[in-house]
Amino acid sequence: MHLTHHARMRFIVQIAVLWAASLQTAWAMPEFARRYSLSCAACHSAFPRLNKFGEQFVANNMRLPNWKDGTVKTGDDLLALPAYPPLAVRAQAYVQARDGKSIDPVTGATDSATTDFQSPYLIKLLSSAPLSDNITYYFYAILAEKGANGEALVEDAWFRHGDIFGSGISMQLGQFQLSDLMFPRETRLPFQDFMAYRMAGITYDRGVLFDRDIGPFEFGLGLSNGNGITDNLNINSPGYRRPDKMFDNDNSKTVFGRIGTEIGPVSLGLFGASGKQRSIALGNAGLDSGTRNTNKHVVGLDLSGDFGGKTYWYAQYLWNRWDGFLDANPGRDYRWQGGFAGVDYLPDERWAFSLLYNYADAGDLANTDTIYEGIDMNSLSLTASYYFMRNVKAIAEVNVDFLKKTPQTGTYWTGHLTKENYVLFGFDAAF
Amino acid sequence: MRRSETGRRLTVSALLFGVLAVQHGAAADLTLRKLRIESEPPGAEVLLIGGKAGHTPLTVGERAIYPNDYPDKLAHLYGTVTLRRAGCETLVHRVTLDDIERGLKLKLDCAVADARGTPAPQAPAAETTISQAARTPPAIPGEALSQRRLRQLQVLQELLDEGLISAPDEQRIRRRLLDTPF
Repeated sequence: MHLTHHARMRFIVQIAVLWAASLQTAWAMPEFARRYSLSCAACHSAFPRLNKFGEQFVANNMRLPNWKDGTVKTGDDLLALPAYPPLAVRAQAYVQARDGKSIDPVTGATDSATTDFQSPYLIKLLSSAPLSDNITYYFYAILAEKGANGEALVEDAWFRHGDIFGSGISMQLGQFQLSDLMFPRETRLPFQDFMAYRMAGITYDRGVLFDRDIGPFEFGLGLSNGNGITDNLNINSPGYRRPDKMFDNDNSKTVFGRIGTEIGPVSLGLFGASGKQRSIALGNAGLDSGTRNTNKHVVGLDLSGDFGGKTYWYAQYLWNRWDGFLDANPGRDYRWQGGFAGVDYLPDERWAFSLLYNYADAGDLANTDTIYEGIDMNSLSLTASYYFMRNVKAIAEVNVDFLKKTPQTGTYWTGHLTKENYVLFGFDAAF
Repeated sequence: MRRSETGRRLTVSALLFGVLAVQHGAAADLTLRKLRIESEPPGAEVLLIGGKAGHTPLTVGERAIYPNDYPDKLAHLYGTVTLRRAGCETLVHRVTLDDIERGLKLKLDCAVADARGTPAPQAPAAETTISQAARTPPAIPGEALSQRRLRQLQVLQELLDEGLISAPDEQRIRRRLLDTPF
């Protein structure tokens, strides 16, 4: 998704060429395929991985120039309603066998099941459309994530203006992942996640992002609440039954940004984030938040490239410093690091093979007798994806955990108490 | 779970997956989406973003139209089919889902080139689109602008009648033509 100014200009030329394409009814967002009468293959090398054109489409505010052709002809120039509800669905269902147990960190009470039908694993309802010459919206809600029936979770949900005050600066306001500035998790091929992003707490947050290309560089700078998407405060101080809520729980905002460029065939970027997070109270295995706001810093380096559109590679390194994070030792700064690297090989239109290596080292958080000892990972995931259709695939994945089990020490059951090998088989579809 | 159990499950899953994939793969080549390209007259050279693909009638894979990677300087050819034939106007067509489902049957305009006594261009000249061809047919010396506009509209109507462009395309191009000042 990293585009230089020149690349973006080239894309404008390119989509101008596609302007004349007729319109009917493409993506892990198949709605775009329908709207622009394009094959899924136009934007995806292998769903959901984007190809070059797909990345350029996203960078162009998720639209082609003829987007208005898909709107209701009301005769009102100030109204551009999509001609039909712009919806798409993504569904996943798996069967899994795995090492790993549910262990209560405080009591050590253990439950386990070595096999599981995770069907459905996830059902997503996605929607996106251009609403004006510069504004696009996008959101998706997950129904039954990881099989949790009765729950709906909104993850991405944002408005994006492609050209604020004619400055060439784009602004995205809403809920999104800070890590999307590097490698969007939703477009990865493996089932296994980019774990360092989750551990560093730079996935979903609410905020605003400004970005612009200048010469060969792309700049992104944003502010976010810095506490995820679940914490909130009820506004009750004015009196009884005031309905509003605050989503941040302190006055500090997280500042984050990325500078990217291309050097030959390699795209690289430098990411940084700095903000506050609640400390962790003493005891109870680190499960409880403390009362102090502590500083948190993340620095990342990302590299990626491809060979002829058949082999894609990517690598991410994250360095973290959580100042005074644990109330047990508030004067100490806790440093840890992690990252991942992967390769996707697409030999033909039916098959995709992926390798994903995840690594994390708890660093100063090791031996703290808290759940944060669990920032410890050394695993390799091997994935084979078989495409029945452009938008329907079967997945087989094996995750091999290279870490040794650690015995329980200290007061609590924390650390790498079990292996996390797994084997998984299932289906993934978008329509 | 003991390591041996994990291994067994792994093996069984891999085998199941392999069998499923191989069974489906037997029909894979038949079901992968392809684009059939025909022209009138036949024998036109087909150019895709990746270069020369052959001569009509020709069937190409969808990925040849939408390659995952391409040189930036060829970006304008993404998703297009270019036909060129000696004595005919070079024609560039944007591929839609309908085209892939139904196949492309394009009629080359050979009369214009013949009348002008000029051979078809041999250079890529891929910027010429159907809409552009209608908008800017070759100028005839001494022809008034109004006459030329009329001729452009006639060409557009012919393209529609021949089924080479869809009605919405025709309307859009017509609107653009009429909105363009003389």
